[in-house]
Amino acid sequence: MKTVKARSFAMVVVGLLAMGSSPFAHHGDAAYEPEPIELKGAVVTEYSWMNPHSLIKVRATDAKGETREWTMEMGSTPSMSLLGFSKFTMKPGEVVDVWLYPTKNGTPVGRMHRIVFSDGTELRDLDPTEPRPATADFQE
Amino acid sequence: MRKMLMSAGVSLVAIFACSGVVVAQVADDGIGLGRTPAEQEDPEKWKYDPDMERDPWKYYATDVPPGFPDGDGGPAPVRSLTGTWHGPRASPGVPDGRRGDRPQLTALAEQIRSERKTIRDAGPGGTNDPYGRYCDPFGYPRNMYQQNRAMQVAEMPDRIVFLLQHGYWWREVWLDGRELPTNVGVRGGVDPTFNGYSVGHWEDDDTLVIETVGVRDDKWLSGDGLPHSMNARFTERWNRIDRNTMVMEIWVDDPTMYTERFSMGQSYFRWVPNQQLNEYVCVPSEVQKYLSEQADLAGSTEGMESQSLRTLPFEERGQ
Repeated sequence: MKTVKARSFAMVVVGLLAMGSSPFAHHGDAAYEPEPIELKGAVVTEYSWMNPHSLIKVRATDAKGETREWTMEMGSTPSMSLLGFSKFTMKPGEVVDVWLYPTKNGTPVGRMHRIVFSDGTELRDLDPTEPRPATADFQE
Repeated sequence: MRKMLMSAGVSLVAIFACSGVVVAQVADDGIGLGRTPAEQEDPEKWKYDPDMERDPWKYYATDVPPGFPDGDGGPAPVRSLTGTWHGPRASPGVPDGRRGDRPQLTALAEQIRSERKTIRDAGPGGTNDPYGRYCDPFGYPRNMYQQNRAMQVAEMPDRIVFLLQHGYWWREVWLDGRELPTNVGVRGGVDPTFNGYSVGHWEDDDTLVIETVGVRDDKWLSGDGLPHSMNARFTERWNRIDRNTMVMEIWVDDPTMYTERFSMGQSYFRWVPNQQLNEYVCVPSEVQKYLSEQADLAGSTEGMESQSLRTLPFEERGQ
């Protein structure tokens, strides 16, 4: 079983690269801006580990000085599990720095890009510039 | 370490470039020959190993079978798919299979397809995919392809049961020699269902062939919004390549919707070392929360009409 573990370590790296589908692969890229914005010192107000997409809500002040509550989606729970997220990754009240692709219509919602916790731990969704794997037409 | 890196390198090649070829080569080497009764039975395979360095209750999506990718775990057991399997997109240890054919639609299918707004085209705010907006069950055969990240297979003397991780759906395939129903959707007959009616037989020691009819025709064939009629017949082949690998392919025969039979493509499945799965359920109340607090606010793709969770008439779902 040690062999399994050692190989798994290598496969995680390889696999996450290989599975590096665009965060917009599921939903198309029309709803969100192509470049992420940064919300520093954001306070987590809600974290919902759910399907088809988990949600993070934060209260934050953006670069224009406007303070709003933002809602951002991530992938499904199995997808995010592969990236290190779980039901207990964060809780309301935590202060984080977060990057997200905002919606084009101005509402304070977006797609999470990456999040950095107070201890420096960084978790991220997949980067849209990473290559997509070849997939069957009937799979998503 | 060197071996580990070699495995990783080979994996890159396998996953990015020619995964299907790698597995195909294994199959072409004559797997299945020389199996001994001891290898077939392998009672230790099911024994709990307290030294596995793995939580026996936790699903490790990135674990792959010992020997991967340069090993196959040994010969496949005869006429058996039993066990817990990683599916497509669940794990980097599962290669992508050959893509499906591009089907030729009839005029009726074109009309139905044109009324369907896929998530890919319309975004979550604009789609009318009944799964995307309601977590409605996929139904067969979409449930064997989309989100089928992991599953278990159990066999009984007269049937084989596929236990899908996504939504805890299961489907049974009868191996007792019965004929498929010919009275689906007629008065006094049997009703079409999400999974339809399936019978199977072992074509050889490694290949299970399943025929399915009677699937509800309001279900989408795929996330692409392709339709099928109630008279569609599906042929499904499972090939157990070796102990750790199997591959599935489904063909659609539906003259009402398609001018010729076509394949939906291959999906590979890999053995889960500790045999434990996790939970993956699309919950209707959660999808409502997602739509009302995120997706509908984000809006649909430009030029596509937005859907409303509460005003989409029931009879329009999936039509």
